[in-house]
Amino acid sequence: MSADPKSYNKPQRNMLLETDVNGLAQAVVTLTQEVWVLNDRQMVTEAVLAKHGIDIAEEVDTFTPDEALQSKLDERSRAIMQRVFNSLGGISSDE
Amino acid sequence: MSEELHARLRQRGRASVDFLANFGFGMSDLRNSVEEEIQRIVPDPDALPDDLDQRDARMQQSLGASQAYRATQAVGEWMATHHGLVAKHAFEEVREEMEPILKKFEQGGSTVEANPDMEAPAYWDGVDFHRTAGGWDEHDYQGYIHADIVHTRLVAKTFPGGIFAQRRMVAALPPKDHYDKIIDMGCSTGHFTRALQETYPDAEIYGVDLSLKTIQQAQRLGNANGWSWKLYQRPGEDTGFEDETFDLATSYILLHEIPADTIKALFKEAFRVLKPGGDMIMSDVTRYADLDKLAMWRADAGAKYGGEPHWRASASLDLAQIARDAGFVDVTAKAFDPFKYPYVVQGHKPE
Repeated sequence: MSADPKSYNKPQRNMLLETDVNGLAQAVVTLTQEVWVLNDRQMVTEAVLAKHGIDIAEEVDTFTPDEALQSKLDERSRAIMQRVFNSLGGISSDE
Repeated sequence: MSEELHARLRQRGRASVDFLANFGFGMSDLRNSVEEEIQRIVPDPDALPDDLDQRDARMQQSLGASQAYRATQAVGEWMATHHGLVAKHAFEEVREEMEPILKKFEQGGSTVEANPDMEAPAYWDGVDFHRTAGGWDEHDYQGYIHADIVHTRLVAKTFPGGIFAQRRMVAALPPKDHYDKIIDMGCSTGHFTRALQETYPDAEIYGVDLSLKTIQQAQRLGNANGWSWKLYQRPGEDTGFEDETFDLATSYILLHEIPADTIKALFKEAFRVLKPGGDMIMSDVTRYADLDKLAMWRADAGAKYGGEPHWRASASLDLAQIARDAGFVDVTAKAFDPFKYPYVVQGHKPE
């Protein structure tokens, strides 16, 4: 072995520069917006259902999406990631 | 994976794991942008430096000017450091219901012989392979977490060619239709062991691996399917079995996790434990010799940041020659299209 293999546990990696901080801020705010929209929707959904006497928390926790829903979920998560990552990388998104 | 062994994750874990599974798609615009930049700065891969470190320095210097590249590095680093943690947290949410099932499948015909006195080799001890937080044996169910969550729910969804289909394809390559006794060297959680057992249903299968947690998962997989695997916490290069014990010696995607001298020792060990007339098949990652300089840089950078300290040395070896040096005859080597992966070496121990 030419080097300590444990040095691969935390390799030195050139990542963001100071000049990236503005893009990073855009990405963080975009992400915060997405997280908040989801939080809001979840809380509103649970509140509306509770108003009708339905407690869905445990069912949501153990729910397994069917193929159609999984496909929609995948599409949405990819879109969110693209918005955030593209902001970070200085690429304009369609949305 | 037996359906009973396949955890039904709770919402937080399930959604987090799905997030990781979609990561590559989420990065697609960034990657496309970086790819355009690479094509611009490397019109002729042959002109890149021969030395891999110099080549990487050249690429880092050139790509460092690209905001999209810097973003891919930052986002990629998050994935490298978080995938193991996300998988572990997803498991912890279902530990209470899964633990009795995991314990149940530690009983049965498949057995594990732990080796608490084993002196772990320096090439393995303390190394976080794949940058898995804490390495292979840190968590008491690390083998399960890796097999059921990381491999089955993440890697299997996106790996080109399909990790299970590739294993079944390779398992069917040895020349005989039947083998009495097979050893899977570096069997880990048993994905390839399974492919061997399904291909040779009557075979008696032995597996060795340095990681106790991974072979405990192989044991569960074996028992969940009614198989009787004999699993040992031992290095593949020093299995401790008698000479001329097995009819087929195998390894699948082990070699890039061990240094060059250990790879040579592993082939010699395979030769030693095979009966005269026995067959050998070893599969691993794409050879650097089969890649142009740019593709080689991509693979090498992936290894550097992906927790693969032995990849470069391993992928640079002529495995067919190593097999011949170990004594094997009729040695063949083949890189499977379209990805030049897996790279499969086969050989025969003379009668």
